[in-house]
Amino acid sequence: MRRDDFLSHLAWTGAGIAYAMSPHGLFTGRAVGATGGDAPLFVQISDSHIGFHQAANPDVTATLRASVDAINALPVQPRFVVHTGDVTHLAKSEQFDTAKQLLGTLRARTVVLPGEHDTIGAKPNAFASFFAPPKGGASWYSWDEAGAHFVALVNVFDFEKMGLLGSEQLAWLERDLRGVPTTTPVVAFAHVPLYALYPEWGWTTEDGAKALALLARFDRVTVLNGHIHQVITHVEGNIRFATAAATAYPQPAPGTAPKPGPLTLPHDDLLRAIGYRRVTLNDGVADLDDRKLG
Amino acid sequence: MIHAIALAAATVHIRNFAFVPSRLKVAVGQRVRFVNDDDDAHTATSATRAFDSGGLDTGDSWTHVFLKPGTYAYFCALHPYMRGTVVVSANKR
Repeated sequence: MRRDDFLSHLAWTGAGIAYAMSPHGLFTGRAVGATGGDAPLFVQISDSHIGFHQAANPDVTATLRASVDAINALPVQPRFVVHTGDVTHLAKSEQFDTAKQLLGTLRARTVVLPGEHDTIGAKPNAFASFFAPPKGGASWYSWDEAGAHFVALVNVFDFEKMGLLGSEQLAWLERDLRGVPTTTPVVAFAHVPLYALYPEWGWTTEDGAKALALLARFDRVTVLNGHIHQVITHVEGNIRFATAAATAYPQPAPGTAPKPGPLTLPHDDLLRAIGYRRVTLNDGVADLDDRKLG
Repeated sequence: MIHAIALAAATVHIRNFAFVPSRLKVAVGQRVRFVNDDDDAHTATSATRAFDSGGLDTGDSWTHVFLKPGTYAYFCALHPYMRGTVVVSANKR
């Protein structure tokens, strides 16, 4: 497909499937219309891989821009847009620069987490120089907003044991959650899934169970991740997990291919596999509304 | 005049999320070229940080010269379950 054809196909329909996370731990999907749904509390995007230029998506900048434009077109803006990592493909300065400029056009404020693609190479601190943590704090942090406690975690700093939170971050999380009432809804973000989604492809966090043990006492916990370029939901007790679609390209469903990696689809199918996620909290329970670009 | 005998470079292909060959034997001073044949990015990163290719895009290659004998374990920093070894033997010429 030629590039101009590709761009002309980037029309956003706004249709999607909403996954309601019920208090009973059941997921129910429902179709939503182009204008349906409440104003989102926040929006999640993930895995933009700026700099990627293979057949699976010949223009990842255009598909990130289409996602940004769709979010900016929401009649009521979310409080923030969280990017759950792999902003770039190879952590190159020009890739960070392109991503930062594009994300800077979002009308809502942004929360940007690193993925392992953002931390490789000779300059491990490049990510922080483009997307600094708030108030010059640590790489992981938390904040309270809209009656919920939000936590941004990093599980891509140890290359050899990725994902790994590490003892320092786990100790911080223990201290951070100590004063939060059990009834407060908790929403945690991290790039790599915190549970063993598919360890054979590295889709797990080695010490994720320690973080989940700290989260288990809360009545309503939502954990949102990226990394695997597709929507997969999971429930453990009061903790509800969901990975997000990429803005760049899909990957195979776990075990359906010999290896993970970019999945090349016909163009229209690509646009149906990438996009962004609107999230509302209904009585503290996350309602996920995944919107695709096609 | 003494001419150094240039050893041919050895090549490790990164293909289908694996290092091929996964165990490579070279002599001291021999160049080792890592070539990424995959659609995804990879690295060749020493477990002891003795060397690190950094991110290798599709089609990129990176060359390293091993100057000391020994067994060098390495992995891909993006997919750490991808493992390889370079065994460097003393040059007996």
